Amino acid sequence: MAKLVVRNLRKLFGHFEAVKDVSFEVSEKETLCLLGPSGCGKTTTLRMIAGLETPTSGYIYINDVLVNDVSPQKRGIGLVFQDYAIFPHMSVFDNLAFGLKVRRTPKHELTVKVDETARLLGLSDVLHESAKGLGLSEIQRVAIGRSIILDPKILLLDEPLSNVAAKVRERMRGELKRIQREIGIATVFVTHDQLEAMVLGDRIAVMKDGLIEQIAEPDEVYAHPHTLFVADFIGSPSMNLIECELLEKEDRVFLDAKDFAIDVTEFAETIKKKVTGPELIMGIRPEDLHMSIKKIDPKAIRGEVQFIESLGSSSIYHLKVGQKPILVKGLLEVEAGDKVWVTFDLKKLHLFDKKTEVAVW
Amino acid sequence: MVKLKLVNVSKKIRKEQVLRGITFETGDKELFVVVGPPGAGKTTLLKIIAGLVPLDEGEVYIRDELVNYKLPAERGIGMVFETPAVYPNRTGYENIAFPLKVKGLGDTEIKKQVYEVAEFLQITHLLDRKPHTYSGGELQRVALARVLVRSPSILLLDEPLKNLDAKIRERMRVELKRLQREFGITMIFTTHDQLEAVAIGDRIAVMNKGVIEQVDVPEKTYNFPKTVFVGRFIGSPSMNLVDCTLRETNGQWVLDATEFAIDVTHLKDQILAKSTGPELILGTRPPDISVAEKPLSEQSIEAVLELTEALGSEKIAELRVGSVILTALVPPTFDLSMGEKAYIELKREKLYLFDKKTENLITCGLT
Repeated sequence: MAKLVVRNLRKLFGHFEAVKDVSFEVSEKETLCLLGPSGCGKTTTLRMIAGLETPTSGYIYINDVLVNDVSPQKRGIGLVFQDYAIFPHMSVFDNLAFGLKVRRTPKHELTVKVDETARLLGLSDVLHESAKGLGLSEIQRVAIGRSIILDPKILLLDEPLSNVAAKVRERMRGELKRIQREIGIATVFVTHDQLEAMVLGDRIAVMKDGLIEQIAEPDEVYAHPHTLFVADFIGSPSMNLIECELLEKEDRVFLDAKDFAIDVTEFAETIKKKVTGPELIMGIRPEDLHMSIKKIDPKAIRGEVQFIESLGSSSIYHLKVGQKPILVKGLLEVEAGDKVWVTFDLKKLHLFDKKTEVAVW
Repeated sequence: MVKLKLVNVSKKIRKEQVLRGITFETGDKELFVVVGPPGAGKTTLLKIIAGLVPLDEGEVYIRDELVNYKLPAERGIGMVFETPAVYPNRTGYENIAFPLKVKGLGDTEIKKQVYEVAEFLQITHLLDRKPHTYSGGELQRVALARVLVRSPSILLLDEPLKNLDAKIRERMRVELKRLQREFGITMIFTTHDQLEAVAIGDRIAVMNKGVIEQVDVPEKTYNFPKTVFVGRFIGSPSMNLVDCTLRETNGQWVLDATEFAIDVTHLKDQILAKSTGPELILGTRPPDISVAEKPLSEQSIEAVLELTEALGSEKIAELRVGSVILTALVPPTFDLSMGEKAYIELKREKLYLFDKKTENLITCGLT
C-alpha cells in the first residue's frame, strides 16, 4: 500500500511555474529522495505535501485519504527543518515531550513514549541535559525524535544536512541512514547533493525545472540515466559528455566526435531506431575510462594530461583529447603535460539524442 | 621566490587563543589551501595576512618585506570573502570597472580590461544585469572578476565555494585552479572541505584549533598524516582509528586491539623508540580494508556487515568486529547483505600507528 501518493502536482507563484507536473508514490518504510539543483521545485513539492503551500492543481493522498484541504497539523506529518529548530533552552526530555504536551497526553504515557523514543535514537544518556550543550549529531537526533514521537504517517526532511561542515555531514549521513532503518517510517527527503541522495534514498526522483526527469533506485539512476540532465547530475566527478555525429562510412557506422571516432556498427540498428537525427551526445563516466602510458588497445585514443586533482585514494585526471576536455578517474603515475592512451568499454557508453536529450542506448 | 611568509603568528580574540604559532611560506604562483573544520581559525588567518585584523605576535612578510605595520591597501593583496561583496545597485560591468575607475584609467582601457576578465570567467552575459538576478555561482564570479581586474599577485579567498550547490562547487573548483594558473596568481584559499583542498591545492595546510598540524602536498597529507587529526580529517570516508596496546608475551610483541591483534615483533624497536607509552592508536583507511565472504588467509578477521551505502562508483561498508566498527570501501559489485558474516583483512603496508598521548604518527606501514 502506498503511504503517500502525489498526483499531477502543480504550483504557480505569480507567473512562475515552480512545480509543473509531479507525480510519485512512496510506499511503507520507503525513503524517497527529491534531488535537484536549487530552483528545481523540490522544496516547494515538499512544502505542498506538508500543507505549508497550497497546490495550484493536483492531489495529495496520505494513507489513501485526499489531504489537499486538510490543515498541516492534521495531516499526520513529521517535518524536520534544515536548521533542526530545536528549543535550546529546554532539556532533551522537554524537547521530545513538547508535541505530546501540546496534545495534553497523560503524564505516565508521555514519560513512556519519551523514554522509548530516546532509546530508539540513542538519546537516553543525555535525556536530562540541556539542548544547548548538545553536539550536532545529537541535535539531529532530537529533531527527528521530536517528529517521530507523534507517530507521523510520513516523515519529511528538508535538506537536513546542508548547514553542516563536510566532514561532519559524512558522519551524520551514515547515522541518518541507520535511524531511518530503525524507525521504518515512509520518508521524503529533499537534497541538492547527489551523493546524499544515492546513500539515503531507496529511490531517487531527479528533478529539473519543476518536473521529475527520472525516478528509480540509486543504482539504476547511476547506471542507466534516462536523460542528459540526470547523467550529468548524478555521479562525481560528472560524466564526460561529448557531442558527436552518427556517421556511416563503407558499411561501418561510427560515432564521430571530430577528435576521435568510435566504431558502433554492431549496435547501429538499435541506435538508429531511436534517434531523431544524426546529432548525438555520448556519455562515459570517468571511472569507466582506462588510461595507460603504452598503447595496449589498438583502438586507444591519445590524450594529454592537463592537470590532476587528487582524491586521496585515487585521482581525477583532466585530459585533453584533441580539443576536448575529458575526465578520467583512476590511479596512474603521470604528471601534467604527459601523453597517455585512453580506452573504454563500449558496454559502458551512454548515448543521448542531442535534440530531445533522452537516452537512446 | 617566496611570495608570502608567516613566522610564529599568534592571535587572541577575547580570551580565546584563535591562532597559535602559525608558520609557513608559499612559493610563487602556488595554490595554497588552508583546510580545517569550522572554528579552526582559517578566516582570522586570512584577515591577518590581508591586514584587516592586527596580530598579537609574529611576523608577516609579503615579497620578503615585513608588512606587520602596513595598511591593507598597501599590501598589494586581493581578497574575496565568503559572502561575495558587490554593489547591489550597480550592474556587473560597473561593479567590475569600479576598481579601475578608482585607479584613474581611461574608458576604453577600462572596457578592454573588463571584457578580458569577463570573457575568461564566462560572465559577459552578466555585465548588463544587476546582482540580484545572479545565481550564487554567478555572484561569486562577478566578485572574483572585480578583484582580478586589479591584477593582484596574491589573492586570498575565504571559503569561496561554501554556499554553492554540490554540483556547481565541483565545477567551480576546477575553474578556480585554471584561473590561478593562467593568471599566474599566488592564491591562498580556505575551505572546510578536505576533498576540495586535496583536489586543487598545490600544497595544503591542515588546521585544527588554531594550529597548523601539517603543511604538505595533498598526497603526503593523505599517505603520511603526521597526526591523528590529519589522518582522520583528510580522506573520505574517514580513516578508521582503533585504540590498541603494545604487549609482549614470550618475546612476541603484538598490538592488542581487544577484538584482534597484530604481530609487530620485528618493529618493536622502532615503535618503542617513538612512543611515549604502550597506549597507541591504529589507523587504517577504508580502501585499504579488503572484505570477502570467506576467510582469505589466517590474518582474516571475522566481522558482521552492519550497513552499506552505495555511492555509485563504489560502496561504503560498515563492519562490526566485536565492539569496534570499521568502515571499508568496496566495489559496487559487492553483494553481501546487511547482517551477514564477512571476513576482513587489513593491508599491513597501509596501517598507521599513532601515539595515543601525543597523537603523533609513529610509523606508517607495519611490514
